[in-house]
Amino acid sequence: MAWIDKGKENKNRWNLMVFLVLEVLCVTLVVNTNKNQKLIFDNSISIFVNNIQSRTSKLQGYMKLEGAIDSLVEENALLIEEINNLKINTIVTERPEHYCRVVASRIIKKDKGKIGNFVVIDKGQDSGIKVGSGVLGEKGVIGIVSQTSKNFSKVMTLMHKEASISVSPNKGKNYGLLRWVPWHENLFTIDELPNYLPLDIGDTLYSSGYSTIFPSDMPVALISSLEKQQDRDKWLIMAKPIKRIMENRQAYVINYDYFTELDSLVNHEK
Amino acid sequence: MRNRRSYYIILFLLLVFLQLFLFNQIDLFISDIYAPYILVYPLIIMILPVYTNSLIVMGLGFTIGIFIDIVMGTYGVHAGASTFMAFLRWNVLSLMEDKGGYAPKSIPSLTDENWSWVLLYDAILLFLHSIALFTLEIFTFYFFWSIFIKALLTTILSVIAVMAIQFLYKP
Repeated sequence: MAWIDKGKENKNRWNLMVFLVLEVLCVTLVVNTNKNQKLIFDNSISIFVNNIQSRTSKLQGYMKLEGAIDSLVEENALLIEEINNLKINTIVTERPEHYCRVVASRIIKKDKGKIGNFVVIDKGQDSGIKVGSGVLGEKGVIGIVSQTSKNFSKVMTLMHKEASISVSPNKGKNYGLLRWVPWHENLFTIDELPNYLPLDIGDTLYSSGYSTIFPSDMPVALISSLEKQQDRDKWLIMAKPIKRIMENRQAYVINYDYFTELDSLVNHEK
Repeated sequence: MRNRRSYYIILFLLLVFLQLFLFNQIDLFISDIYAPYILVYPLIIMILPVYTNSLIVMGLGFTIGIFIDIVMGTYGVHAGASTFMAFLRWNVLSLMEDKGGYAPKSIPSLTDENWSWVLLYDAILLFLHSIALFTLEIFTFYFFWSIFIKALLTTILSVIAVMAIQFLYKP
């Protein structure tokens, strides 16, 4: 008979394709002509499609998250600005338009320098950032702007040999000076706090607001160890930042235009 | 050896006739859910010569399946199952090959092989066929064990019928 292959080899490369075509044809027939199978098929397809749709909408949500974060950061900056303007209002009698301007930025580079740690942020002179402005992180203080260019700024963090900030455990009654313990990640000492103060491990230290760099009452660090010195009447305090300084991703640069103006005038008189 | 072509044509018509007018009319009250069928029409695919071009095997499987479907009003169910079985026929054949291999024009039936070989061969292919058939009929994998039991019962009954037809009408 003609249609019997002579050879032993019976594999044909069209086999699978013909098989699939015929099966698809059969399933199409089954689905289109039988009521129950059509119902099951439609139901399965809609479950499948819904599944895909929910997955893609989740994915789209993630992609939009970046934009959402940006807008939240901007909003945060405005809120910080507002709060600080209100604070200053109680100190200075006559209130100019803007004491305080807050610029939201993103940390794009982290750098270990020779005598301390730096971060680089993606806003510069064009956004109104000046050398000496204070920089806040997501929780607490990061450092001070040490260098600016057109679009970027370099921030000297608190983890730097030359950095120090006056802090207060009780919002303005007593002050101590917070310094970095060189080359210990996220570890600070605080001097000059008298040992009659009722301090405890875990207490928050706030910025004093004496300088015109940082607003007052911003959380800076948490006390991590506490010891009474024998021959002095001061506490020996170790502290850690609330959020690890180098792990911040957003930074808020605070410009006190009003006070900078004042400072330059005072310095000029000298 | 008689004329093979006329043998296959007569067998085709005989199987369709038997399937539609005899075995489809038998009601087996074993159980509502597991009520098995007696399938004889797959014999036309199983009994084709070993080295038949597999495209022809599949085409014939589809043809007889759609024939049964049109009469029974279950478009695509039997055709899909017998195409599936025809596709796997060569794999089963090469799995069950002896050391000597098949003779050039041998037929996988009682004339060329012993009865136990034919029984196993028919059972495997009929089982594959009924699994595909009931899956297409119920159209969900949710009732897998029901399908499995139904296919098993169908295979047992169908093998008996198919062996009887082969014994009575040899090529």
